[in-house]
Amino acid sequence: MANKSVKSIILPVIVVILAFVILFLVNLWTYPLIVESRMQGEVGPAMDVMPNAKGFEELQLDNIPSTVKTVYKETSGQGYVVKVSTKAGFTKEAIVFYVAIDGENKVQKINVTEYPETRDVGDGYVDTFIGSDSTLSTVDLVAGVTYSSSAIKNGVADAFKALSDNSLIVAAKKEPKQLYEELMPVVFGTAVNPAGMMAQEEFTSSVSGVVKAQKALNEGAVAYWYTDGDNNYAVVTNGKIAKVYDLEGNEVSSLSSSVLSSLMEEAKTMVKDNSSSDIKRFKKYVPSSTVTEIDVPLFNNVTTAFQCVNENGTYYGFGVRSYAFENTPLTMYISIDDNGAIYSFNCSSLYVEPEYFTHSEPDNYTEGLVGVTESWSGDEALITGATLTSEAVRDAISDVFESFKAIKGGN
Amino acid sequence: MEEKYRKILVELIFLGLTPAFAATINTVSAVSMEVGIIFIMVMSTLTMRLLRRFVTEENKYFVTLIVTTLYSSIFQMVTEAYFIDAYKNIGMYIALCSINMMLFGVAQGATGKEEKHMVAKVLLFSLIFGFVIYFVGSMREIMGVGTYWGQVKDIFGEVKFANIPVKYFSNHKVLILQKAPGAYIVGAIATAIVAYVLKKTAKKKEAK
Repeated sequence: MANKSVKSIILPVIVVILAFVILFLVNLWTYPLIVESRMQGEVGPAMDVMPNAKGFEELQLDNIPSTVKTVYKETSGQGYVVKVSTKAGFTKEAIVFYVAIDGENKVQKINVTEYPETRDVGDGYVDTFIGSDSTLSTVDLVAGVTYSSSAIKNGVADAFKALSDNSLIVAAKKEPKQLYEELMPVVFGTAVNPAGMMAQEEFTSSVSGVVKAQKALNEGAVAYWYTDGDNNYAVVTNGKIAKVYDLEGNEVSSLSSSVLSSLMEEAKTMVKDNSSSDIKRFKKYVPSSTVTEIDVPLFNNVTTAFQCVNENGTYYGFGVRSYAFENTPLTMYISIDDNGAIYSFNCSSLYVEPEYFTHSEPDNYTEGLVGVTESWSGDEALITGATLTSEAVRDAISDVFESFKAIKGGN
Repeated sequence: MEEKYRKILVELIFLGLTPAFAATINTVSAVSMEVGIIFIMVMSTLTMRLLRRFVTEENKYFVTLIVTTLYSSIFQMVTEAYFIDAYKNIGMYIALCSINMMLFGVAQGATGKEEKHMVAKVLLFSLIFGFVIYFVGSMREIMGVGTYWGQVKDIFGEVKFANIPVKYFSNHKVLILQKAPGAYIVGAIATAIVAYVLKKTAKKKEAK
């Protein structure tokens, strides 16, 4: 009995001690491997773009673009690896990639780990970034895959911005050409499509000193890059009003008035004057009204603006030409009452392709936009299966509200 | 196989399947789990067999628990060290194997002094069990995802049989198979196949 009791106690104690020793030894053997495996799992994609790295340290940075998810610093000073996730592609799903920036502040390698887009940018596209500095001046977009390639390019730019804003690298100085091209989507809204891409064509200007001249595809305005040797200017004009900027995007008044006049005169010949046809439209859409053209001090997709006064009150009519499928201008006539709510919405082009409207009729769609105010989310305009066209409508309405606000004096 | 084991085989499979179900969402996870269960079961049985002279009624459960936990921990650490991608799929469930009723029961049963060739029997049984979870994992992946061996390249790199697409099911996924009820459905079918085969072989043996 005593023997059995001793057996009952001794065996478990021995088994526990043996188990402890065995586990201790196995832990000694596997622990370094486990640490390395875990490290490899976390930084494996970073190692793929910087294979000679000794190790990585994750940095916690402030004020970084929302597309930048993780920043790794290589521990032996070889540079940085940035994980970028952008939803600016065509499908709006996340494109995820890792970009290695070496000690000379240039792109060493890019590895795309998630690519949900419907069209491939091509195997060689990411290789065009290799050796580029923060200006990315040597990198072009891929024809036919503009949204996706632009998303990747802007993501790489964000990676550089995250590092330069945190003083980890020094951003390269951009050439005037690049500054001008980056400024255009900001100041030349008349030629910007809903995806933020330029919808413009170049033309040859007769004004001396013009380096580049562009016309919006909706023929609403033109833009010039003008230089007098010492200074560079971006001029946006529709022939009636003009805005002048330096290449940093600051509005300036230092451009010679004679040059500005010449540019505006030339712009009048390039821009299509829709005033007379649009006035007729608004006389119909705002019945029994006196329609007077007004100027809008903005350059967005609104190309004409009118004040319409009848016995019911004052309304504001806007002829908008935003960009739909393949940057085709889509003309819409939107009137707003004095309280800022849409009074009428008309667009003859929407009736041309009724197959877009799988969930509603065109009439229901346009009538559904009446009464919308500036506080709308924009979702009311979107139609499944007709994304580009309905985004053009959403863009147009947003531009109308922006113009209405500018007319009323707010900003 | 002895008659007494045939009778309890199907019940033992059900006892062991619950943690395995959670891990068998695809073929690679199922095979990883299979390897783990075979290792833990065989090594626990062998160890308990060696200790059977010293095990008493009072300490057998405690000793069995220590032994199964020891081998579960070893397998877990080695998997995490060498096959981290496989570990991500099944790591948590390996730990549960230490209290898996099937593993525990089989290891504890190995202390029976009258049993012979116990390790060989347990190895055979674990292979049958392995077939069941392999079948479950494969069916869930083929019909639920539309691929076969989809994750093998994460563990072994580029191999010929990696990520075989199954065209019909790629376009007609049976989504429930990727959830728990689907696991039980396929598991029940697999166990039924095993029970049928056992019954047939038993009849053949009786006929002889």
